[in-house]
Amino acid sequence: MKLKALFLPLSLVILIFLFLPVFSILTGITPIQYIHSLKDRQIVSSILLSIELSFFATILVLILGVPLAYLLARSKFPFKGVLEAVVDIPVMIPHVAAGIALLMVFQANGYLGEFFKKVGISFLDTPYGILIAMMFVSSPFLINSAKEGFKKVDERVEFVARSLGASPLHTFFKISLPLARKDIVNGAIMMWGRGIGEFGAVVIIAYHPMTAPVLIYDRFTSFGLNYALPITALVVLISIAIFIVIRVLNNLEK
Amino acid sequence: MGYLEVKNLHLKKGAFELRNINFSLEKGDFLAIIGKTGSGKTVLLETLTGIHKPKGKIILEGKDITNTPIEKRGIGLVYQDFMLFEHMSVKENLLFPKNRDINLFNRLVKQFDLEKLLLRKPKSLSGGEKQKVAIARAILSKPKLLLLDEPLSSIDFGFRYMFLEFIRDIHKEFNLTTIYVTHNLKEALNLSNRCGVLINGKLLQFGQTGDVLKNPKNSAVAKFLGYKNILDGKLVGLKDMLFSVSPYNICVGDCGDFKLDVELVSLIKKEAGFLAKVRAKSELFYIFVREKPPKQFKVGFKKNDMVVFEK
Repeated sequence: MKLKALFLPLSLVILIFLFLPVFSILTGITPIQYIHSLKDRQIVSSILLSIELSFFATILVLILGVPLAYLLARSKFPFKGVLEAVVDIPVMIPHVAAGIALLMVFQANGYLGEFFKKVGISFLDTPYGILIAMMFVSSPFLINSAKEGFKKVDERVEFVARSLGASPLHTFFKISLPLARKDIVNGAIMMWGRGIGEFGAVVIIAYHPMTAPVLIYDRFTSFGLNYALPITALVVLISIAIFIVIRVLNNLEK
Repeated sequence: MGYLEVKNLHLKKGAFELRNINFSLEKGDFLAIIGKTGSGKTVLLETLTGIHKPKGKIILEGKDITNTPIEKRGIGLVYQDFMLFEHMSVKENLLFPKNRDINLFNRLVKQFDLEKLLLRKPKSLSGGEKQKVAIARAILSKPKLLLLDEPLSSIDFGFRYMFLEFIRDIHKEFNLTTIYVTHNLKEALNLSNRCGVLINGKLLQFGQTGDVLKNPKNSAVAKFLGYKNILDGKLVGLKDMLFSVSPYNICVGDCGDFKLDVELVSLIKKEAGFLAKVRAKSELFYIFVREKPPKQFKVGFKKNDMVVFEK
């Protein structure tokens, strides 16, 4: 009881710290300003661009990162820790530095930029640039969450499935993936949300077309807080609404 | 050649080792592998299933399956905690096996009394119901060999006898060659015609169940089987041996083929008498007595009541 009495005020402090800024943004503008913001084509298109590109980045990491997460959860091999550290690098480094690093690789004469240039894809100031920036900085959220999800699936369930005649691939899709689904979807939501909000890496590789965070920065530096607040409030509101809906759907049992 | 031949099976898994496992089963045999927790029973089943890569050979129906992938072996495995697919209904679990046959499904659903459970998720089932679903699912894969890993350990004590009957009936009806792992001697005796004693990764004895239980090959097996009074002895004309006499087969007084003077060490009260711990020279052993014995007295036992085994 004494412990709870000690922890409760401490918990309240951190909860207020987390909630108050969001609350102040949401209540910082009037309903009429919300409606005006929704009529501002630049605001709407920047929000849609952020949501859309972060969604595609998440889909790409679902395709490429979930298999990696499964391997990391199930396999034992030398230097596995190094591989896990590689996955975590984007979380550890400053996001502006991540943007510079991506620029080195994806600029026209970079390691991969040259190859993509041949197939007609350029990354500087294009949606592709935004996409890879979002992928790079937010993929650890999805990969690590999926890895934890697969770890929670008892390997013996997979053995039993195989003893019933299922191939390893069939076992993965019918048993492991559905059982780890909650963690994978939660990781995808985290990645998507992180992607929508990504600024540092995006601003280096593609200032244009403007994503919502870049537009917020642009309006704040050019016109001040009053001009930045409506789009900020709208982005926060839309993000929270989407995440609540997906989380509720994911947590609903069939 | 037997239906299942296991030859010189060896597996190292961390600090644990399965060492030189050899046995052979005929079609329809029911083998009980008994041993304490940690003796390697589950690892042995998993190795037969193909989960671990051992040295040695596993031959099933004349075909070497040592390196065959799990899904192509035709070996059904039921773990003690069932490993049902929690995200699927009971029906989806039962219809998961690749070899499923809808007629067999209908028959088993009826026979196992699963109709009412079909749409439920495993989470909502009792231990006994999970057990039935897990065994039915394994049978629906039409296995050549069925492996049961302590299947009664999650069943309430009161229902265990019922499940023993259930497993015996299933084995009989489908003539399924079965390996059943347990640490419970009664279960082994009730179900199996073959028995193996696995201790510290070694199959110390294998044979007809009755033979194994009555004639332990060595002191480790005898101790595991619950033999009391394991004593040193020397058979005339033979090497040094160990022997055991049940406390209930030792008589008090000038009786039996072998006679000993003993000294009373302690007494434990039992329902119809006392279990007396006694000393003869340096050996300590137990005898059952109806009345409190004096400090020093004579005991004896018959030659036929001795079980002799290797040191």
